[in-house]
Amino acid sequence: MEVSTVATEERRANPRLDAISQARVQRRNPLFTTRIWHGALRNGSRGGACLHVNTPLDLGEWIDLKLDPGVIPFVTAGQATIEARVVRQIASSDPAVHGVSSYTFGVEFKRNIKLRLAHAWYRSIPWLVTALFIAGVVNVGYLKSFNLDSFWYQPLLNFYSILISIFILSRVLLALFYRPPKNLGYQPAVTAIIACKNEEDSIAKTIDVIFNSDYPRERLEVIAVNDGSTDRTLEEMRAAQRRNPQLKIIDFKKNLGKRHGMAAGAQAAKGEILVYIDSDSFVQPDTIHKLVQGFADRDVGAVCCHAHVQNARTNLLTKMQEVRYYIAFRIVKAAESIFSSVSCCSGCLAAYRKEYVMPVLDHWLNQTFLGEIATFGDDRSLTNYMLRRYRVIYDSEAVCTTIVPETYHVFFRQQLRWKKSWIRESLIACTFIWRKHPTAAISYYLGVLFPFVGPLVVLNALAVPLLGAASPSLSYLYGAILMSFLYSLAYLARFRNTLWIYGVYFTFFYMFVLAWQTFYALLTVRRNHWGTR
Amino acid sequence: MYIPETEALRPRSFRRDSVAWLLFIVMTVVAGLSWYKFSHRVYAISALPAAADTATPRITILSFDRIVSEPDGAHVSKEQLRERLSALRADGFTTISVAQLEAFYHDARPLPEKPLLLLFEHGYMETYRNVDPLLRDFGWHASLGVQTRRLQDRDTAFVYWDRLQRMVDSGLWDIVAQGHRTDQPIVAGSNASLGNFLASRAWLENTRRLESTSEFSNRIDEDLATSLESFANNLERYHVSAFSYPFGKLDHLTDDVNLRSLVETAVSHHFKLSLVDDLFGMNDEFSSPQHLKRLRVTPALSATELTGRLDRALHSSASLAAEQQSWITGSGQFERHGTSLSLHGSPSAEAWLAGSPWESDWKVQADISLQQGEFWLVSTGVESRTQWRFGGRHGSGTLQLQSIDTSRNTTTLATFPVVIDATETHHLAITKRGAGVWIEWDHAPLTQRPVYIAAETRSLLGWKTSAGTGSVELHIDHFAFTAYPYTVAELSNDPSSAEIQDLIVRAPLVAAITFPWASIDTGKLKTEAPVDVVFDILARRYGWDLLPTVSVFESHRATREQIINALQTAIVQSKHGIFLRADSSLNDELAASIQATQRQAARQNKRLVLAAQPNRQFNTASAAPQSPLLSR
Repeated sequence: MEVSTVATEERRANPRLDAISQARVQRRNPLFTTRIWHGALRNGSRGGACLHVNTPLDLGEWIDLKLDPGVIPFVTAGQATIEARVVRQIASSDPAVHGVSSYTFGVEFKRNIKLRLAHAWYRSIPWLVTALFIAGVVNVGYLKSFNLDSFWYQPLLNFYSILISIFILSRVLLALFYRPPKNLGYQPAVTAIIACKNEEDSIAKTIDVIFNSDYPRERLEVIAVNDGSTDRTLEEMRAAQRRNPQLKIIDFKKNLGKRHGMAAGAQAAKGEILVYIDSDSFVQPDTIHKLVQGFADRDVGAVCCHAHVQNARTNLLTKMQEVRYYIAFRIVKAAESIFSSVSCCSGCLAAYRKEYVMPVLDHWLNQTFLGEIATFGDDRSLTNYMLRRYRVIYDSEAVCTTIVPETYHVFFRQQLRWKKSWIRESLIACTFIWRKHPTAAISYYLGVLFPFVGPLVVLNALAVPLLGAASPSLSYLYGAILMSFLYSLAYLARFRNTLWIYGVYFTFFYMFVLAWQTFYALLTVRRNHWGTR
Repeated sequence: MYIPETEALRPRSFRRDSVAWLLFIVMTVVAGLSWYKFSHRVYAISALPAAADTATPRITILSFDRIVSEPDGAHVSKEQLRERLSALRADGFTTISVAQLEAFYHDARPLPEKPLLLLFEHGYMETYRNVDPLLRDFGWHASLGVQTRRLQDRDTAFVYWDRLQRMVDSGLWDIVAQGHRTDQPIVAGSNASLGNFLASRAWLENTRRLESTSEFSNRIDEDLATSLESFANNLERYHVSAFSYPFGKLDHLTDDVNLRSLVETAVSHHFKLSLVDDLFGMNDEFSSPQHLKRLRVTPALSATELTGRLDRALHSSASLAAEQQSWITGSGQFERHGTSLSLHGSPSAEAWLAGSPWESDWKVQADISLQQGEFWLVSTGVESRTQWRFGGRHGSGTLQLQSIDTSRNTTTLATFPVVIDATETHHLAITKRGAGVWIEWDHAPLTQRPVYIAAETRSLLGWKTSAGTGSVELHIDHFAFTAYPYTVAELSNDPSSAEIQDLIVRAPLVAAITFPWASIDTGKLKTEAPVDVVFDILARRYGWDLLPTVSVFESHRATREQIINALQTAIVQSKHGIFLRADSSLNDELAASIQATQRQAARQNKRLVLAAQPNRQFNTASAAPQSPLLSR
């Protein structure tokens, strides 16, 4: 029996979100209060949702839905527990939803004051963020006016301070004008290439998710390259091949390096567009379709995806990376994409036009730096080759999720590797980036300068005064907090959760710890060890 | 890292990006030029008159410390400054620049009526922020005192070079030097005691002694040179030519005449003008450009009080009725009730008469009643700070006439056995004519002849009382100040007894005597007769200035330069100056040079007095002068 109420009408009037989210169901029925059932919410709105659960529920019964943080915030407004009433039973027609499939019910959320307030707060966050951002920008402008007014007292320091503030603010302001490539229905032949070594835990899922994509199967080629793995990676690939016969496998008997794996995939590819996917990255059904839309422009040589952090809430380190990734992609790369000058198409998911890659493939494969073969920074390096002659853009709607390091040891090794490749490729790009739009070119050169000058400024502002028994520069600290705050507001506006504050934490983590790694990377740039294993 | 330039690897630009670069460069150049022009915009200020006024201008110099945004009691605020500037403008003052002041003193260029130089000291940024908008509103000029050490230290509380350049480029501001480290104390003793940079010998730790005279001189000279070098290296299109003593007056900081002289010598070597503190801030053409006086304006001096004080100081006291005369209090309290004045305080009190320096010969009368302590009628030289004074202590039984030199050494010139009764009022009359002082007490002369005093021709008159450890109280009634013209009596070269007797009878009316002495013949000074010792004896006995006559006639065929050089030689050789007799053939060019020579003589505390001649352009001693000192 279906229970139709005014609340149901209101629920249907609310916008719906077609997303599937895990939920734990606790029945209010005294007979069952101690037991938790696993379920999934789908097609939710602020009024209610479809609940898939593996236990029958009584119509009119009240239940508690316990949700993980960050689950459908649009619906739940960040609430961890929502009271709901079972209002009807729906015949389930989707048996493969997260492995739970026995019963499907329509549930109506209890619109108590708490939930209403939560929704009101949730709706107000963008306005609050806008107001805070404007206030922050005005505050920055006010602070910079002092730098300008007293410029010649300390010209270098004031110049740096003004420049970096302009640089950071310009990223955010430019990102406001960013628009992803339009969906033109462009569907070229695509070859997805996954090159990996010793990734037995994730390779199967990575491949399966690609084949689960909604991209036309006849236009999708998938190649997996086993780069001399010593674990069960090859077996997992073959198991995936059995599930997906279209999968092609290239097997290196010994480890040749990721670059060789990527090159082998490119040489074997039949598609027009090469989509490189990391073995610990997972695409969404529409990712590949969205990713290739940018190639409708013949001048585009590469498209960068948007990466979410899969394990965002594991610990402090992953939370900081979550915010940092969002800023790096949705702010920094978006700003670069305005001028078609994205400096690095991240290795987790990026697409290249094969026609433009093949002429430079050998050169890229055999790239050397200071007499040493370049073994890492493949993504940044290949991007540079494209950037020389073509446009490189970012697509914020081509989303993938990736796993980030959860321990500091692995994280620092990853960062060191990234910094070394950044040093190498930045020096190369400096020779031709001046040909790009002046905003892009100047920003790029500043982006090369700041990581070296920044730590010295920190030292001068905070550490040197302490040596002289003076107090550190509070204005510098305040400025750093303010700028990181502005960046983090962008995350808050998008996700409206509490993780935004970790962006501020990351700023100080970078300022006092990570920034100094740049100098170590500079000194050891010729060493070719890989990290993140 | 070298990448061969194959086609696939050759970088290329997109048309859109190239166009963007072109626009970017054009916009940057346009924006840069616009900002430069805006930040260096020039303001037109009021033009100077084409010719000099008929009266010798009396130049007021006002100095201010930091100008603060909000009143704090210790500094003049922006709004308070605006009030004062408005009052000054309404009173007819017009600002001048340092360059104009320098041209006036060194090239005799004209100045407007009631010229005013504004000086803001120490170069505070806050001062600039508060004053610059006012100057733009008023269209007025001002000077900023700068200590170059602050700029070297890059102290953001003080204006830096970039802003100083814009200030001088705008046409509104001048820069006045205040030294490099002159504001920093130095170690002046073995016990690490601190002393003033400009007024103390530094303690040399390595040799365990105070620095010598030459070391002191070198230190000061080096500091000033460093300051000027900083200006030269950092300011374009501008030359700093004026110095402002950062702590007012050297003689307030040290009694060592030698040190003061060394500092003043160093300053005069590097700068054309220098500024010192003064109660009135008044100057004219006869003031020494190395000792220009400035009045420090504090919040306690309201706009009305300021303009009133300046107006009274601009005019001779003799031209003002008693109730209009302006007294400036030093220490203690000063009260006025109608024609009655009273000074009291502990341990001292003093009050100074505005406008008194403009008269060299005068008579002062007053009824005084001394309750406690001692009193003095003081005459202080405005340039040298030498003093003479008359007065005494209650109950001492005598009154004294004393002189005090620049080293503060006191010499008693005369002692008079007079008892001051606290219950009675006594009448005092002092006449100053030439080099003599005549004193009357209770309507009776204390001496038959004047006391001879080698005093500065320009002196500030005032009352002083002191009591050692107790309090003082002096009442003054019916104070009157009468100015006398500077009268020169002519004697023959070999005067007869009758001529001398006649002169003695007129002694109280005579300020100076003259007699034939030299002429300028064929360009040289020819002494026709030596100065008879009789004249010197008479001058000392009756308190007269000795001005031997120098004659210049066209028939002697001397050039202008020769005449001026000869006159300057004569002035140097003379004791009090010379009396110039010249015929009517002197042209305008020579007249201007003679005026310049008069100014130079005044700075040596001497006079160049011009005799009356038909068709003469100058005022003479016997005629009533429009400006007192043109009668020299």
